[in-house]
Amino acid sequence: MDSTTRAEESTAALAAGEGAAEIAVSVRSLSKTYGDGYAVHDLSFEVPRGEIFGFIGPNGAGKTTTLRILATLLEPTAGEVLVEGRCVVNETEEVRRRIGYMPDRFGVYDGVTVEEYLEFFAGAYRLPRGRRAAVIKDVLDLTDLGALRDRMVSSLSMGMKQRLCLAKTLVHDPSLLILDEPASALDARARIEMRVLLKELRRMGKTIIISSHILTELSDLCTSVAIIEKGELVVSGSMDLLQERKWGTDRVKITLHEPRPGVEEALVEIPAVELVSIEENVVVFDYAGAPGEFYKVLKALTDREVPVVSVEHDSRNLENLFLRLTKGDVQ
Amino acid sequence: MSSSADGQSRGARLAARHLPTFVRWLGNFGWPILLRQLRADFRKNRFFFSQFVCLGVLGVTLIAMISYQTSDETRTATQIGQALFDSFFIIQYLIILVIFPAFSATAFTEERAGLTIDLLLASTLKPEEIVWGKFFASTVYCLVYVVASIPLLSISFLFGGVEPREVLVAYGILIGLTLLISMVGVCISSWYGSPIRSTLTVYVLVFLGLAASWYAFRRTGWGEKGAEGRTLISLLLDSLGVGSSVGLPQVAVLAAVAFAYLFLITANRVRPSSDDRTSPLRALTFIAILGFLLASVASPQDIYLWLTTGTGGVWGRGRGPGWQRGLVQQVFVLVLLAAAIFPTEEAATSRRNRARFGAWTGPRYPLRIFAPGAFWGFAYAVALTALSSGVLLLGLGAGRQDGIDGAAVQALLTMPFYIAAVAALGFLLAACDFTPFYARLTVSFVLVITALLPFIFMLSKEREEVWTGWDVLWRAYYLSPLTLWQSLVADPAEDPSQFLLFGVPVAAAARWILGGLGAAFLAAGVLAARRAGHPLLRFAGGGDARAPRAAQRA
Ligand SMILES: Nc1ncnc2c1ncn2[C@@H]1O[C@H](COP(=O)(O)OP(=O)(O)O)[C@@H](O)[C@H]1O
Ligand SMILES: [Mg+2]
Repeated sequence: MDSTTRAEESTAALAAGEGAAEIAVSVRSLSKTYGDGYAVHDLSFEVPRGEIFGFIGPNGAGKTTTLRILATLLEPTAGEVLVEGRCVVNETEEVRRRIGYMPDRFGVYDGVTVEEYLEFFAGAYRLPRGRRAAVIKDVLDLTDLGALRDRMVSSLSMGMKQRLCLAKTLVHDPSLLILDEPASALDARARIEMRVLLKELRRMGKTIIISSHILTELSDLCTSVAIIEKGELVVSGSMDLLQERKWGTDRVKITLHEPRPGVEEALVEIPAVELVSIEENVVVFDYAGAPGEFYKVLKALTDREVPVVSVEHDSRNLENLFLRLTKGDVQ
Repeated sequence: MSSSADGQSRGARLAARHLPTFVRWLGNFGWPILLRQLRADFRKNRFFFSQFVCLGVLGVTLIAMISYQTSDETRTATQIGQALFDSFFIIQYLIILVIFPAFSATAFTEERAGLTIDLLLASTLKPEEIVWGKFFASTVYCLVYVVASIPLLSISFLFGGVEPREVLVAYGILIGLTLLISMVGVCISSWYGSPIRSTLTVYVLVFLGLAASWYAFRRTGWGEKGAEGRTLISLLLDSLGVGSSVGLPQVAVLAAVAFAYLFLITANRVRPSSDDRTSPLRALTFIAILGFLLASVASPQDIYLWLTTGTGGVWGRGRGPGWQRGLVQQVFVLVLLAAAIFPTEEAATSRRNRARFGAWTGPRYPLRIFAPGAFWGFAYAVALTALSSGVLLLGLGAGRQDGIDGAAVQALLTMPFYIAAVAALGFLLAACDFTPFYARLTVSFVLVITALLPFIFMLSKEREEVWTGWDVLWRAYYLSPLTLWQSLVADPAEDPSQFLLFGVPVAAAARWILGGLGAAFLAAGVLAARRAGHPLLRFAGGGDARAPRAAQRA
């Protein structure tokens, strides 16, 4: 009993406080069980308003489960989820009005045109009849589907369907978009278009939660991320913060003029360095120290007269972070 | 604005003012879903095809009937007209029962299989609207067909022998059946993931429906010796007429109640469980049972006498003690079902629901028996059984010369204790976090065991000489619901209340024992609910009752 009361107090404080306006989604100690096993266990994170939030984890990590709970399609076993201060269990109506949800796998209705499909959702979201035509036109323009408005929905390509589904989530002008692996079925070109569209939507003031099991897909799109594995949160925060954190390791690739012995010894002595590979004249290692201390690495190498030709320093390499984190290297 | 323009656009302005309200009202019945379905189906010609096939079957059969009937020289025009009318009705009945379920049996499974259901459920459409939308989308063809077949019916009028009243009743039955069958299909489809399984299940039910209809039609004496010159409908009307226990209005009301149940159950399947799943069902059950009671017993004349003189009115007096006891039995079976179902709901209730019902204070406090959760389910069952027994005791004139006899009164007084004990057991199980399914299974098991008791005792009675202890057991006979009902059909002259158990009348002892058991179950249930952190009387605030359990596990 105690634990709930406490959780509730803090929630109430959150809803009433100044912070509420800045937080689009707040997940607190969320758990979901199927049978005996946890799909999501004690998950907590927050999504600030106006962010593109990457929700990242390998297959089966519990992303879809969490996003379905956010979309009021599943009930949590325990914990609390607030969307703009509204509880997804007790205030489903209010939550549904505020979110646009795009499932990871979805179908479209046979036998209707693109325009009719959007009309259906405009009706389902109770848009005033007089405004529907204008809204549908706007949404079609935004998603670049204007030319296809009379095409049958079932004849669209996967990328088009995906964009149509996104158009459908925009019809009622939600402030929060929940997109479950929207890029997984798309080709490279469609992915780039999707990315441009999402940035445009962010400019329009929407908060976007986007999930993926591939990190590179999101690393230059997202402004903050949460990484989960086996239903538990590994790390979450703004991208900038994650880069600065000590475990926000950089992958460094040093090319030598020619292979040289002693490189390994020189690098192993430095605590912030974790060697990944030495192949011929290419040395790859992870650097976890402060940026200001990196010269020490170079000094150790040059002291031993290692012929360094180039240093590639990938400072936004979230993939690396992701791989390390999900391996359980870092607590 | 000129006045002429005003005059011209008056209708338009009226429409403009009222159209939004009308459209909103339409929206409440899932209009967007119906519209989408219609658009898709008109394109696929599914609509025209189904209409064509059904009307074709009907037309061809009727023409065959006409040529067959008219070839028989001995037949009069009246007979031909009646035979045509009968075959029209039967074919329609079969088409509705056999073909139409296919339209509705996939209402939800289609959406699940096509992965479109999530988009629908995540929208702001209410579950009720989704169910209405799916219902109308699957029933609209059927209704159009039934109406479109009216011209074919007019053929039988050419021959005479059919009254307009029969035509009206026939159409009432066909339309009612269409609506009910569609709702059955929609309801079943909400239970399954695969269209094939839901369709199969629906057709198993259709088969049962066919068998039941055949039985009902045969019972009217249709096609037998004495029934020449009568149509099936007129025979049906007779069998539901004044002399029988169920009239046409009761059948209509029963069908409407069944429809409402199916609708609510479907809406409950569609909505997430945090929404209130139980209140409408409880309210409907409450109204249906009390309504059934009142409708069965009270002729307006009876009620008038009862209200004015307070003495004259004994319900069903003219229909004899057998009828009165039958009514008591029927009501108890219904209340017992309610007592097995509602207190076994989850003890946990969502905060939203508690807040809603917590606002019901003062004179509205009793309405909390409709609040979700096991505890209020128990309160509901107790209130329902107390109310129905009270109404029956008063209405059947207990204790009066012309009222029901002593044995029936004993049963009427004892049965509520049995029902309350069953309800308390259900509450106890729910408070111990049994899932509704297992709680109901356990309660049903107890019901079966206690129903079997009298048979054990009957065996024992024959062995009285072997062991006298059997004699005592035999007197515990009245602890079983079955024997309570049996005492209702027993010969009134042989008053079973004379049986004594340790010097106490058996029925009174049963009340003490059942009351004690009920109180013990209730107390244990309250303790268990407290320990698990489930709210009982408290409505405002508090955590979501689910949380503590999960917290323990974690
Ligand atoms: N309906 C379900 N029944 C049982 N287990 C499920 C169900 N849905 C998901 N799971 C399990 O929950 C875990 C998380 O699944 P999911 O949320 O779909 O992961 P993700 O979307 O990250 O790939 C998986 O181990 C999966 O097997
Ligand atoms: Mg997934």
